[in-house]
Amino acid sequence: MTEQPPAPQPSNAHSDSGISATDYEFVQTLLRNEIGFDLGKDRHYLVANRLVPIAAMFDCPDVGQLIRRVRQSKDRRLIEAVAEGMTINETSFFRGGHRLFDNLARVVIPALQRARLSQRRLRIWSGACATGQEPYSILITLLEQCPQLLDWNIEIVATDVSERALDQARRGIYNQFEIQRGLPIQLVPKYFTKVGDHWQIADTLRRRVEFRRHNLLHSFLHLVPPLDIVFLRNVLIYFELSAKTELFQRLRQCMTPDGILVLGETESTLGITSDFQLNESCRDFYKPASSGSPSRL
Amino acid sequence: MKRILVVDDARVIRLVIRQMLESHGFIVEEAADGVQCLSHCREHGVPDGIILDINMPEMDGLTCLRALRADPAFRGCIVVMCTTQVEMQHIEAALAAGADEYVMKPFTEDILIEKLRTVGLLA
Repeated sequence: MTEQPPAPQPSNAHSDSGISATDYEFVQTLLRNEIGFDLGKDRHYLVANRLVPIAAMFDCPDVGQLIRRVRQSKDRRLIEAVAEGMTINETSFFRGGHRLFDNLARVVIPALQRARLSQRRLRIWSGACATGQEPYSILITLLEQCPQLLDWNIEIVATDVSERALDQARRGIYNQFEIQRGLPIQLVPKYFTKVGDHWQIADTLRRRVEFRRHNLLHSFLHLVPPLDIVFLRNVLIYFELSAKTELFQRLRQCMTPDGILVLGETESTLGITSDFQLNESCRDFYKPASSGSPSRL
Repeated sequence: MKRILVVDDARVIRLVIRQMLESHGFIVEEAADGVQCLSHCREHGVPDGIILDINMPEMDGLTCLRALRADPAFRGCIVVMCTTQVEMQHIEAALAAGADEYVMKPFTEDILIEKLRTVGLLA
């Protein structure tokens, strides 16, 4: 971690949030170093709001005290809790629309399937999966639309930096609002059971997704490359340009040459990397560039 | 512009849904129970979609849905149930009766609009 100046004085506190400029800069640096998150300027309210539960968890009377404690103690547990507390777990079933998942089943899977008839194996990674709706949406798509893969070895690894989000993902339990976002009602009786006020995804599906804690700034080696399909959506928008470029380099080295990368609707590789190029036959997807300089995994 | 008939015995719910739908460009009509829903459809023509509560006086939503599905004049009308009945057997009964989607109360505008998008009532 970057060394930080002494505890801030109340006089430099941001007028609305109560977060001082020094504390804000400290959190900015911490997030950049820990998870590659670019907090940007003047988002004091985000720090003030998101860290309230973390402050309570560590018996700090307010967020300012929490930040000062992190600075002074450099306690890894605290640092990770702050980084995790600032992450965004926004997701939903079939996020990005059903067209994307239909194209996965109708365009991407058949092409990969033809190329892997002898191995009968596909490796899929859902990066920054938050509470798990994305990997479960991928799995449901395969079950619903790709019966030809029934006897294939399909490995779905889903990762996130937030252990709290992963805990929910592993349990596969969603509240009434989460279950209604993006999931067609016909799929609810088929794949979920009602547990109290919540809905839990079937054990048979939960067992087929492996959830692991992973920081996108760290090596992808333990994700068992080579990966055939990578979903990395709506996360790179929070990264600084250099972190994105470096991540794409590492990612390309982990993917099969005919693999497919899926980014968020508002994300692109344009102007960031030449390691991936748009798949002209289906513009929802990117493919690894055919050549490039070797990079570290 | 697409026509949506909102069927709910609670006036305030109809009002809230009306506001949500009108802000997305729908023409909204209202009925207070299943009987009114069927007569409204016969008098004013089949709407593009119906948002249908289940627990209502005179005729409940499931009975109304079955009547809609049994009448060829109402073919093609999309029906989205919108109800406080949130158990699995309620969902299964609605699907068996021919519901296209199911919104569990309470809900947000985002959820309702996304459901309308899923059934093709909104681009």
